[in-house]
Amino acid sequence: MIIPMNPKLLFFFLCLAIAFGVSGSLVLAQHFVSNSYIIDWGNFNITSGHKYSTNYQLSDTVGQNAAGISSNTGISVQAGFQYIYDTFNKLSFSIDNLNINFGTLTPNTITNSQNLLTITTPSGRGYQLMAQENHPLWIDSSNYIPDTTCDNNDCSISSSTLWINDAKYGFGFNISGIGTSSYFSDSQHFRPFAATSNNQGSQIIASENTAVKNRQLTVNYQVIISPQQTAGDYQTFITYTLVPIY
Amino acid sequence: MAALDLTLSPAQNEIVLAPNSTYTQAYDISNNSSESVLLTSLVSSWIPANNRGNIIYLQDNDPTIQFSLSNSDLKLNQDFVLAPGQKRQLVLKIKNLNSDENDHFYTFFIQQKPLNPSLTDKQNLAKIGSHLLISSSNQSNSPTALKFTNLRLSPKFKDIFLPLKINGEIFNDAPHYSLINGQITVYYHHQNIKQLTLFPYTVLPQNSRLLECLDSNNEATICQLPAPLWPGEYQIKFSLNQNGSSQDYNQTFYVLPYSFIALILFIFLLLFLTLKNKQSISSNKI
Repeated sequence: MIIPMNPKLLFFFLCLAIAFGVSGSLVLAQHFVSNSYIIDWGNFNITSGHKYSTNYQLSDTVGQNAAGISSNTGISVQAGFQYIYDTFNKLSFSIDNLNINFGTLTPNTITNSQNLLTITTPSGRGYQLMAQENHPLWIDSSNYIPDTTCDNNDCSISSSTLWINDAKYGFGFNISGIGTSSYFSDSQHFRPFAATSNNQGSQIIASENTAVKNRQLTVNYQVIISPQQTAGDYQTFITYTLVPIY
Repeated sequence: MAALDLTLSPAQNEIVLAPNSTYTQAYDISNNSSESVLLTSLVSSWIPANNRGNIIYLQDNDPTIQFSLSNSDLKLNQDFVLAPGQKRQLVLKIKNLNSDENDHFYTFFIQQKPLNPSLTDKQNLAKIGSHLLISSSNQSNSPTALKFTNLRLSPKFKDIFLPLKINGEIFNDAPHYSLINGQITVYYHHQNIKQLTLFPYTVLPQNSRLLECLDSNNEATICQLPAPLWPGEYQIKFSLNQNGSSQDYNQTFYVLPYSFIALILFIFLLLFLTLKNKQSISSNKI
């Protein structure tokens, strides 16, 4: 946000600064006097902010006494508002759509749907993204679409393998984007979600060591049903957990 | 705009708590989406999973550290609603009931719940967490015991045209977590030619972190010496600054012009074969 500075106010402060500068006396703080009040401040910052152009970024503080980094054994002082930008320590997570609808499923046909996850981490810190389903896609616990075991019955909640055979029934997912290659080697590798109903803990599906800004990851859900699958509304929900790398 | 968009700050806190003392930490949670969101707060304990900073959550929390919210209108595990664009501060109160010197690791979670009860069991959800690294200790500055392990330089054949990667780990042999503070200094003919600053990862007790260096953006990157490197003897000094002094570990390596030698050998072989062919042609003519 940019706050426009009143030119008269700016002129007043400039005059004030010049008056103090030419007075010859050593002044290390600000002293404001009126009929009713006396205010002594350590310093009076005139303006500060984070400015951008195509090629440059500038974080500044005008009016700060002894601006800069001062350090001694066991202590470091960063004087000036410009240093608050180094201490940004926010973790952000967004999901584009919370209600994924596969529509009507056709037996022996691969059906996919996607979710876009966006992650921002603090400076100097990566992230760990985990996922867990409540239970397999089901109408009830006896009518369910099994979690996928992939083409060669060799994938699990912690390892992904090829799943392109439309005769291998199940529900699974793939995730793509930077940070996912250790978990999914390509877009045709899938795995089932860890399920709370099976006492399986949330599994890591993406992670990075360095800070990211608006990192986008695409989750591709895949479901294939057999001709014998009971008709009805199958449902579950996935919980995505985002934490920083410590 | 995303259906769900949450921001949690700060992302991590590292604190030292004396036995039977209490600490409060404020967290800001923002709803950046255009829809209201139903949230709850909880705390889960974890252990390190590997040397890259990944973690595994435990089923049960350690009861020796007690958590509660200091907010007058909210308790832990109690639901609250954040309107679109709303920001709320939650104040976590942490009480240390330990009498021993040890460390505890937790995540303070903000967990989403379906706002519309008809969507329960149907709607995807998100959890976002901030780590709490707690040292239970009577000393605010405990002695550290970090050390380098598994140091190795790659590639094995150090050629003048190949960058040299410095791999290794830093192990924490102390009862409390420590922050890495150190450098890698490279000397050629006893002259300092490169200094790399180690990335200040937190190393948990009896665990290790991969050795990485600080890049120009203050992010972690592979520790490496860029090519080309002059042939000859090099010394590397690995330094860890701890307990008021620097602990150093030195290694020597040699860079040889392997690729240059291979090229000369190849040219000589080519010349030799050409001359040999010419000789055999001329002897056949005779």
